[in-house]
Parts: sequence; C-alpha cells; structure tokens
Amino acid sequence: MIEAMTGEVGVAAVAWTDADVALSDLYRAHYRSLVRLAALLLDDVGTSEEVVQDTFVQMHIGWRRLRDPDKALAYLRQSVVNRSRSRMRHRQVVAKHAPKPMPDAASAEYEAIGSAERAAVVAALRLLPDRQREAVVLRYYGDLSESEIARAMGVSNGAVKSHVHRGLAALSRHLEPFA
Amino acid sequence: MNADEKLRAILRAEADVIEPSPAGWDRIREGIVVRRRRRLWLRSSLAAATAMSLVAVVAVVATRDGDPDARGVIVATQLPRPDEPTPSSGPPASATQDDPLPVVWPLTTQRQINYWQANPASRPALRSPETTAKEFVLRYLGLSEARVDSSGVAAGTSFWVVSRLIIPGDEKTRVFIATVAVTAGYAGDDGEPGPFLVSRVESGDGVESLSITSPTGESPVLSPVTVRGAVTGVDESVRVEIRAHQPAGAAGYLELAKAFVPAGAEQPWETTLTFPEPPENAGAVYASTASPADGKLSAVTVIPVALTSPKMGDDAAQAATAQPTTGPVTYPAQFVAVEGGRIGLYETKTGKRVRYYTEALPGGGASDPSVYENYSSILYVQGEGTCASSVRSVRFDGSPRETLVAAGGGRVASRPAMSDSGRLAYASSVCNRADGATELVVGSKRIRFGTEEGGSINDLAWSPKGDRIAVLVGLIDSTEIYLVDPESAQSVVQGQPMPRPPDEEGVDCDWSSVTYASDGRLLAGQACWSEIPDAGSRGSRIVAFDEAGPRPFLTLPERIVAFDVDRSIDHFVLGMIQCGETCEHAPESVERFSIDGDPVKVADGLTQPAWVD
Repeated sequence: MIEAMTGEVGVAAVAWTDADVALSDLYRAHYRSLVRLAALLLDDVGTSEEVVQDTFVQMHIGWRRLRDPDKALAYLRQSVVNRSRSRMRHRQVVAKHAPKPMPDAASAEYEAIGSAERAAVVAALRLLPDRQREAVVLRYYGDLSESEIARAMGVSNGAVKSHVHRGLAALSRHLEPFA
Repeated sequence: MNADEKLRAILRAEADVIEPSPAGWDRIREGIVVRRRRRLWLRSSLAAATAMSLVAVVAVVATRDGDPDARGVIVATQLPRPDEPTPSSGPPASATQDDPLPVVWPLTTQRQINYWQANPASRPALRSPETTAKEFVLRYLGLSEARVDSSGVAAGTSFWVVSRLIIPGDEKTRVFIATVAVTAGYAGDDGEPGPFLVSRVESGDGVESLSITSPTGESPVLSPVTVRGAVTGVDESVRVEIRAHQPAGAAGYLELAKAFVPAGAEQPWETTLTFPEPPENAGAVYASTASPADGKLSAVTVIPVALTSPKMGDDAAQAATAQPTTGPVTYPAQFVAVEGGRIGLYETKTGKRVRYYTEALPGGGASDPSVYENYSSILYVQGEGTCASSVRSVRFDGSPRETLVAAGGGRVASRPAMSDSGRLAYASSVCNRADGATELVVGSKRIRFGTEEGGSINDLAWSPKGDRIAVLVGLIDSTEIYLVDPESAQSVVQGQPMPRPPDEEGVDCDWSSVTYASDGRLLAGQACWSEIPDAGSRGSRIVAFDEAGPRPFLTLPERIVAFDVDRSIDHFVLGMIQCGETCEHAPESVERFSIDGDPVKVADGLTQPAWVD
C-alpha cells in the first residue's frame, strides 16, 4: 500500500491521447491508497471516496494538458490533499453527506499498540490544525519526503518541517503515556 | 518501538482497514461522461448566450434618470468684510520663486503667479474673486452641482466670499467662506489686481463648525503628520486629507492620504496620516464633514501647508518635527472589508478594526462593500434570509442608513457600485435558480448576462467619467469582462468581451476583479492556475487596458491567488488565498501590495477589501 502511493506504476508508459487507459492504470495502482490518505485527513470514508473520485475526473478532463505524465500521481496526491482540506473547511457550512463511521476491523499493528492509545492519538490527530494534520499524515502514513509533502501541500520545505514538528509535539502527549 | 514508529503504525492501522467501494471506477466514469456532455453543451450555449445578450440590450427601454440640473444651486449672500482680515502676505523676502506660498488654491508659488500675470488669459477666472470662488467650489471642493450666482468683494487686500448651498427640498443651508486674497505685489502690469487666490477656507452651516488646530501651516509638514481639530454640533465622522498641488500649477490636486475619524462636541478629533513624497511642496490639510441629512458636504476647513518628505532633503524640517519616519509609503490609511458577515473599517498599517458598520444579523450577513466617494458612504449588500438581499448605504459616521434597493421580487441583489455622479448599478439574480442568468441593473435599465444554465456578475466598476460600466461575468468554465454603456444599455464592443492578454504556456487565468484607475484605464485582476487539474496556484496579475490593448500591469507571487483586488492611486489591497485546488474556499487574509514592494499581510479573516481613498 505504501509503495503504491509513492511509486510511479505504469504512468510514464501511457500515451498522451489515451486518458482512459492512463486513468485506469492510476486507479488500479493508487485509488485505494489515495482513499485511505483522504480518510485520515477527513473523518468518513464516503467523503474520502468522493474526493478521490472527483480528483480522477478532473485529471481525466485535463489529461491532454498534462505535460509530464510522470507527475500524474503527484498531481493526484496534491489534489486529494487540497480537496480534503476544502471539504473540511466547508463541512460545517455545506454538509452534503452525513459522516459515516470508520470501519471497525482490527489489524495486527492495532492489536500490538492497543485501542486506548490508538483512539487517543487518532482523536488528537483530528484536532490538529489542517496543515499540521496534512503534514503528519503525508509524512507518517504516506512516507513522503519533505519536498514531496511541500509540493502536495503547496508550501515550502521549511513550512513542512514546522508543521510536522508542531503536529508531532501535539501528538506526543498522547503517545508518551503508552510508551 | 519509538514514537515515530508508533505513530506510523497507528496511522496505518487506522487507514488500512478501509476498503473503498468497488463501484469507485464506475463513478469516475460517470463523472467523466457528465463533464464531457457539459462541455459540449457549453460550447454551443456560449454562442447562444452572446446572441441572447445582444437581443436583450436592444430590447431595453431607456428612461432618463433624475435631472441633474435640478439638484442644487449656490445663491449669493451678503458679503461681510472680515473683522480680522487674513491677507496673504506675499512671498517672504528670502523665498525663492518655487517656495510654496500660504495659498490653498490655485497658484502656489511666485513663479506660477509671475506666469499668470504675464499670461492672465491662461486662467481668466483668477481675475475676480467671484470667478475664483466659482472655480474653487467646483474644482477643489468638488461641488459640481453647485453654482455661485454672485458674490461680493470688499476693498482692501483680502476678501470674504460667502456661498450658500441650498438643496431643493432641504431647508438646511451650507455656507462656505473662503478668504480670497490678493496683495499689491500680485497686481498685474495693466493695473488690474490679480491673480485672486484662495488662502484659507472655513465653513459652517450655522449649526456646526469645523477647525484644524494642528498643524497650523507655520512650519513644514513631514510625513507622518498628526492632524488635530475640533467640531461643534452633532457627533460625526471627520474626513481628513493631505492634499498636494499638481506639478507646474496644473489644475486639480492630488490626494496623498485620507482618513475618517470620529468626532463630536466633547471629542476633539485626531489622526495620523502617512503620505508619500509630493510632486510639489505646496499642499494643504483638508477636513470636512458630511450632512447627516443627505451625506453631502456640510462643513469644510482647509489650511495651506508646505509639505516635505525625507526624499526632498529638507533636513531642517525633519529636525524640527523630530518624528521617526520609515520612508514614503502611499497606501491609503484605511480600508473597509467584511469580517464575519459584518462591514468594518480597518487601519491599513496595523489591520486593527476601527469600527463595525453593521450588526451581526441572521440572514446571510453583510457583504460586497464599496466606498461611495462623493458622499463618503459605504454601499453594501445585506442578506435578509433565504434568497433575499437588499442594497444599503451607511455613512462613515455610522448613520443614518439607507436602503437603496429593497429585498423582494424573488431576486437577489449583489455587487452594488455607485458612479461619481451618484448612479447606482448592481447585479440581480433570480432566486429560485441559483445558477441562472444575472441582470445588470442601472436605474430602469436591465441588461442580461449569462445563460439560463449559468452566469453571474462577479464584479462591477464605473469608469471615472461615468460613461462605462465594466462588468465581470462568471460563466460555467470561464470569466469574461464586458463594457457597457449605461445610457444606451448596450455593450460597447458589440457584445464581445474584452480581449485577454496571452497566457503563459500551461497557465490558465480567470478574471477575478475589475476596477478603474483615475486616468480612465480599466484594470482587471486575473487569478491564474496551472492548467494541470488541481496542480496549484500560478499567482495573480493585474492587467491594464489601454489603446494598445491588454497588457500586464502588476504580477503577484505564484503562491498567491488574489480576489477582490482594489486599487488606490498607486497601490493595491487584496483578498488573498493560498490555494492549490479550486480556490473555492474563503480568502484567508488581506494583504497590501505596492508596485515595487513585497506583499505585506494586513489582517486575517477579512474578505472583500476596498480602499477608503
């Protein structure tokens, strides 16, 4: 999953004029990971799926103008981050969809960490300012480099450092008691 | 497991249990098909929309607005001689020919006076105090509707000129008293006195009086300057300006800085103004109040001063004032903006709110403020519930308010703009079709823009002469600017939008605002994005239209997409967005820009800023 987010599976080989094929490849390789990324930035799966689907539609419409297909995934990721941010801001104003609860299935890592700690950290993550939450998620879930995060968020590398640092500082209060 | 590893594991555990719906690809395909159909439809409908707008403007029935000749006159009154004349003393012995004289208007140096005496036909109005007064009232006080029927002159070296302005239907009169001075030294070779010059202006309407106590005009004024004064009568707002004369005795004046300050009988007023380097040393400190009854000029006081700035090298003046300076800056001192659905007045330097003009009301709040300069008021839109809004006016003193366009009729009013001559234009949309076509309303004329499926008027601007309205129209996938003749209610350029400057490769720009420069040029803001979907901002720019067509006028940094751009004489205030996606969220802050300078954040949480200048 993590590899799929950061890899460039099959994109460079796609012909300019064949947007359908290109989008199909991108969908197979990255759709799931992008939805999961959005789900960490938002708080319900339905909205996360809509955000990613809208991003794919936009990418298809503008595919002919895409000068560097190798960057398609980066554009998708950036669009997902921005759209998620926008949805968060507008949620209180225009609530189109009632939040759906996150699936409740346990993983091995979940079992190892413990539900109390995970719940506390996730709750704290939801309370972070938008940009801190984005930086933390892209760094620790997406495993993106500082430059990649900066590009996805549309900010400088220095700003990424600052957002990650502040976000971690806020979350560490919930991590330490379980260490 | 350290904290980093633990956080990584928690996030994966939280996200990896999510399995998207298998219908994701189908939904994407549906979205693509819908967009394709929409685009195909749009291409055909845009052509139809152009034809429709042409038909619509032809069908408009032109009706004449109010007769401007019937709105006000100035009549003669008795002309008392002042008990304590304040003659102009003429140039001091040590003065050079270009040193400013203690004159408000219109000739301010001995060189200019010498030129007039050699060429009195260049400004024949200065041959008599009566015609000088008429010119002064018209050109300096800006009372274009007023007429000086007669006045009188007392013998000697100074004269009072008293003009009384009577508005039909308004029993209140406004009296302006200007000391028009001439000395023997200024007499022409033909033995006729002249030129007559306005050396001081004081006024009142019998109820209130307005005075400037500092500066006095006895020493040069250096930016920033603190202006103090007093007013008697009702509590109100005082408009304070630093004015400079145009270079080489040209007509008119330059408004270097302006502020509105609250004042009252128990509250002496005071404000500090920062002004740029003036073109000439000669200037004036101007203060005025507006009538609470109709917002028109009520009292005015003007004193001549010598302006100086650090660049002018007047070390003595700088030492005398001993005030710190950060160099010339030219942005207006204040601006209005929307904050949480309320209209407010803000200091440009600090972003501090001076006051609110509207309350926090349900129904959508207030929006779309614009400064109605002639009457020192603010136009705005007040939301009044679902699909209802009114156009209102509030004076800078806070009252009384007027409703210029009442809510109702199943339409929503927005983007009001007032011409210098007092003509209101605004956009009107059908309530029950949120994306339906929009009308531009000017008096009884209505001009339709857009189509049934889409179209909105995003911004309006009157030309300085009032003979054009620039209309920024938002369509489904594009924005266009149209020039409209308000008299004929027809598009000036045969229904065609204004041309666009060529975009940089890979960059797509939308019009974001329109405004006019004082020289008559149309300026338009463009918000630009990468053509790659959602790939982020590519900055904004200001485009100037002149005879050669559109050309870039000011380019903003790439990180910034600016909306609601308003322009002062040389500078801009911007609603700023750091955006990368669709920029549909609200502007994050207001920043000010100069042509040569970097953006400076003024305040967060404000939208739709407009200079008070």
